[in-house]
Amino acid sequence: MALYVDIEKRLGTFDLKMKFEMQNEVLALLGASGSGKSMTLKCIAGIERPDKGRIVLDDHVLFDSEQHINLKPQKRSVGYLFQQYALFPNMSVYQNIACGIKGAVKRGTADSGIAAGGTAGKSEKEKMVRDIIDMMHLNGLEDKKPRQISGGEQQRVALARILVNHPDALLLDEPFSALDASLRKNLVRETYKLMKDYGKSVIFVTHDQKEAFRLSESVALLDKGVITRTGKRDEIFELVMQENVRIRGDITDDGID
Amino acid sequence: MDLFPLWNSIRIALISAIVVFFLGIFASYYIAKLPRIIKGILDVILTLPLVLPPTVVGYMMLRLVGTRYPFGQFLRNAFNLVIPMKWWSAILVTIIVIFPLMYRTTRAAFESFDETLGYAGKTLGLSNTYIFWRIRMPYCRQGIIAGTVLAFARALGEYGATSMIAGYIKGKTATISTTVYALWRDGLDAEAFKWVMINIAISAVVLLVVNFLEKKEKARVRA
Repeated sequence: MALYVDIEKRLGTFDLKMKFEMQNEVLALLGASGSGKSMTLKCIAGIERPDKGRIVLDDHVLFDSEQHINLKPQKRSVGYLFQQYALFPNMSVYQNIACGIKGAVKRGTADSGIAAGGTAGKSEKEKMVRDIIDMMHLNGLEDKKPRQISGGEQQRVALARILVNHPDALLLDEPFSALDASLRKNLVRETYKLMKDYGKSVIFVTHDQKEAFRLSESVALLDKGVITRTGKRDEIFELVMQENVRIRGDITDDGID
Repeated sequence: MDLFPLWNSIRIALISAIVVFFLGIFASYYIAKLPRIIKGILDVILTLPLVLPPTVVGYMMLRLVGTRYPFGQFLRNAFNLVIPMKWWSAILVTIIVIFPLMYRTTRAAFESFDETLGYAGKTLGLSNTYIFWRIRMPYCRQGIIAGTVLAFARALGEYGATSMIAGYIKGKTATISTTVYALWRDGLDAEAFKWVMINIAISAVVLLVVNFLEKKEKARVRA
């Protein structure tokens, strides 16, 4: 298994009881706002602590209430894309991407030679940043501050910043909600390709059915902290269409186009 | 003209402001994480010097370290340490008097911090120390600078507590504010007036610096 989650957490109006297993695939968590999607991601990333349960990622126990294991977020190797991207406003695009690579990299201070202790040397770090900048088409934006670039660019920087660390799992929290509808369509396609090619466990949270079905291999439907249905994308799509399953709240129900 | 009071005032204010810079940041960061009741109590205690007359602070400090009182006697007997009437004894009370200014402004700045930035840093593997100094502090920079400058300006003007603990010894503990009073009391009006003008000039420069920093910050945000 790639990612195993079985957690419980008391929330204000309901109890979050999430149990699922996933392989290296793209899983969409689909549910109304306040159904516990983001909280689930936060528990996996270690930002929030579940009341009890177990989270295992690639044989690596991240959380286990019985064994009193609760790894720090820093030790989990889980990439988290926040809804508003959470780019560091005081740093340039380049610094935002570079800062997570085992310590900060200053631009233009490259030296040859790789530092001892297995951490990336400066020139190696520079290369890692350069490669990801090329891959995410961010050339020319290196010295810009986050507020000086567009929403779509901000999203790519946030993704670049995560991918440069090669995390073992990717969590995306409503990745398109901060973008204009016109931008969204192209980005959804690009992002899906990126996530699929990444080849590891990717969970992506949304309240938008269209997005969920366009952007995933498997879908889990979430209602008040519990998964009501889960399966391959096409199965769930059929189900949703046939039974006309309506999930409470603000989900659009016009399917895939 | 003997410029000792100028030099003495500046060193007292500078040292106090530096100490309060770290103390204020430390206190506001950790107190924000405490349970509500303890936070409320500490808030009152730490802000109290802002509204108390400085003479009360001076009095309490004398009760503590004054050589007529047990702890002060203990310090003198055990370490041969006499605290009152030294130039640096003013620092002890100045820190207490200016602390609330730094504490209040810094705490307000920290409260405006977008916590998701901290979470993002953690998931990227950044240490808590890195997140604090390289993300949280720059984000809250303006409030922290404002608090420090205000604290420094207030320290320069400290009179009540300073005059009680450090007194006025010409060339030893004299500050600008105690000098103004001492000169005026001795009828040296012209001399006192010079120091008043110096004081006004320094305060104006400090305020100019604050305005300049604010303008620079605004320009930076607009860019």
